[in-house]
Amino acid sequence: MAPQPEPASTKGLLGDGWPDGFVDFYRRHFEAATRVAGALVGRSDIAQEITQDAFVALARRWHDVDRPYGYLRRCIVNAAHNHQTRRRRHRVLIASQRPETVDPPEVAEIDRLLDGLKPRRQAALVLRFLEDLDYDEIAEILDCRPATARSLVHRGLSDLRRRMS
Amino acid sequence: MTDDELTARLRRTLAHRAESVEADPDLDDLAARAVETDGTRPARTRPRRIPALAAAVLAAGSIAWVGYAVLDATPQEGAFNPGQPLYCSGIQTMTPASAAEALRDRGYEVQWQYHPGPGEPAIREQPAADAVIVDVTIVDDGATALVLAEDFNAGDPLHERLARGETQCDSAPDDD
Repeated sequence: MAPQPEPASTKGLLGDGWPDGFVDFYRRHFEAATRVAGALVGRSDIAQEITQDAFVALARRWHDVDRPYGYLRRCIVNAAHNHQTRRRRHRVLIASQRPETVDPPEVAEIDRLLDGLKPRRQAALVLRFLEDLDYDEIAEILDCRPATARSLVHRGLSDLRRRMS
Repeated sequence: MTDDELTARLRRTLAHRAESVEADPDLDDLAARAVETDGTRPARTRPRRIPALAAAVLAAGSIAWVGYAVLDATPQEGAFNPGQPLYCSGIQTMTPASAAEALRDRGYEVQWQYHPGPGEPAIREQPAADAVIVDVTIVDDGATALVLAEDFNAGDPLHERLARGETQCDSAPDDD
């Protein structure tokens, strides 16, 4: 096995450095976590920031968290929600800042419509149809009842359908 | 379109969106992010540089002081122009405190970077209470800055126009 580079120093931030096992977890899950963030916010740079912040938060609670990936996903969804709420207020302003997309036409329409959904509905759709989570898992991440998670997915789909027509 | 067709299309869109994200698990980046955020709050926005040209143009007139409230969102066509988000907002001619409140109500993040003139880097955190928002400009990283005037010459045509309460809104064509 190729030698792994020394982890970057976090002395003073996280005690003696990254917690045991965290670096391996980070390397194994960063890409998947960033993709979830990317599906939520639609921008690579913001997705990276959100994901990094989530990993930093996880590192600080590493020894208290039973299911690290679940905690991470929850941090990402919450951060994406906050980002979308701010962005919605700035929608008119930042619309022209977003890089022009070269998405295939079949995805371009839904990609655009996703940005217009309420953040929790959008998050429910991402968790259901990208992450393939069941309603119990979605409910845990969104801090709601499973029936509410089901309703969020249903309403998200209804919103998409209505806007498409 | 059936439910299955819609969800299939949604799955393809989400997968496409997720795959277009670059993901580089660099630990140095993560450590830097940890330092930047201190783990408790979002990373602080770095101070923006004020464009020397804008400051020079303003200082060459009768405005004695100029300052900038840098807005974190950037309209491409000028925030106060017709069709733009601050058009007819009344923010032009407001005092800094009123403008900041109005902008925050609209979801902007306002931070004051106050420059006494070109070549003079002194920065104050808050402008004078009786300063007036006179214009808006784009700073060099693309953010929008409100230009303040403090203690400007009473003979300035701009002063007279502001004293009459005129704004770009007054000459706007009527909507249909």
